[in-house]
Amino acid sequence: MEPTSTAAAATGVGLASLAAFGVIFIINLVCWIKVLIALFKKEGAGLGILGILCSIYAYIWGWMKSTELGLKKTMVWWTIAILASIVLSFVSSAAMVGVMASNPEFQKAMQEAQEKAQQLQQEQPAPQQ
Amino acid sequence: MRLIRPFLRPWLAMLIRQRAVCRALLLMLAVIGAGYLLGLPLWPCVFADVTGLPCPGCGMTRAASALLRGEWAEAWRFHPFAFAFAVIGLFAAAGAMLPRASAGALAAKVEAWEVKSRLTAIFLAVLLIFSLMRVLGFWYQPPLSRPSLFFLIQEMQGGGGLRHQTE
Repeated sequence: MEPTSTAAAATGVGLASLAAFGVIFIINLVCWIKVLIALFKKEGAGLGILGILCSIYAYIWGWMKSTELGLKKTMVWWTIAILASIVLSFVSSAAMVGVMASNPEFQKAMQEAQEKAQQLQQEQPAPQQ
Repeated sequence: MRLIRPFLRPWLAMLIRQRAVCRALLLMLAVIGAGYLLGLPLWPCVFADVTGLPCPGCGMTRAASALLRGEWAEAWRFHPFAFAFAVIGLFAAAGAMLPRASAGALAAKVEAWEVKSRLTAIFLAVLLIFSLMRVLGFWYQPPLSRPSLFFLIQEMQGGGGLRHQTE
């Protein structure tokens, strides 16, 4: 495959994942906020804030209380959004590699960063025994 | 005072009492941690993926990994609250694994301490302030695993988003 067509394909995948990311982000955010509102109401501000800081806690709490608080639909959507974002992260990572590989500006920046890292390694004193 | 009161409610004791939640939390953290070690992002941060800014919990997995390796300075750099979260994790583990009576007794002790010291409420307030400061660039921001949606849009518009991202 020619480099330009690789870049075009990667850009296409990037654009598609960009749109999908947007949709997933909105679903994720809406479900998270819905659970957070229930969490704040039921458990108070402390655990509510913990749900903001650690969304995994909010997710588990949401599933545990889904029947009691009628959050089942929200939790199913949230789970679908999480699974979709995991799949998409693999797809978009592959696409990003393609986009980056075809971007001379990025290649130059990477080369500079590598040189800088090598320079820093050489400047570091040898570890003492 | 009426506004502040809900924030002063003990939450760590409540977490210890939620035994099933604690068990599931530990299991999920173990799975996500194993995924991290294998290079699989099993809990992608949508906030960071879209905005390119760190969410309040960003860097915690890397900090926890550094803690487990005994690299304290590295853990502090990735997330200074990782040490406190490790303690909270221990309490959650106690809630999950101790017999019901012992977990209840521990929760009662923690609750009394929380009411007396207000330390857990102060901890959350400081953590929120820290998160805001980090977003504003006053603390080291852990690098993203890939360019964010925001930078990708910039790059596609020819705005040099990738150059900014790598700087």
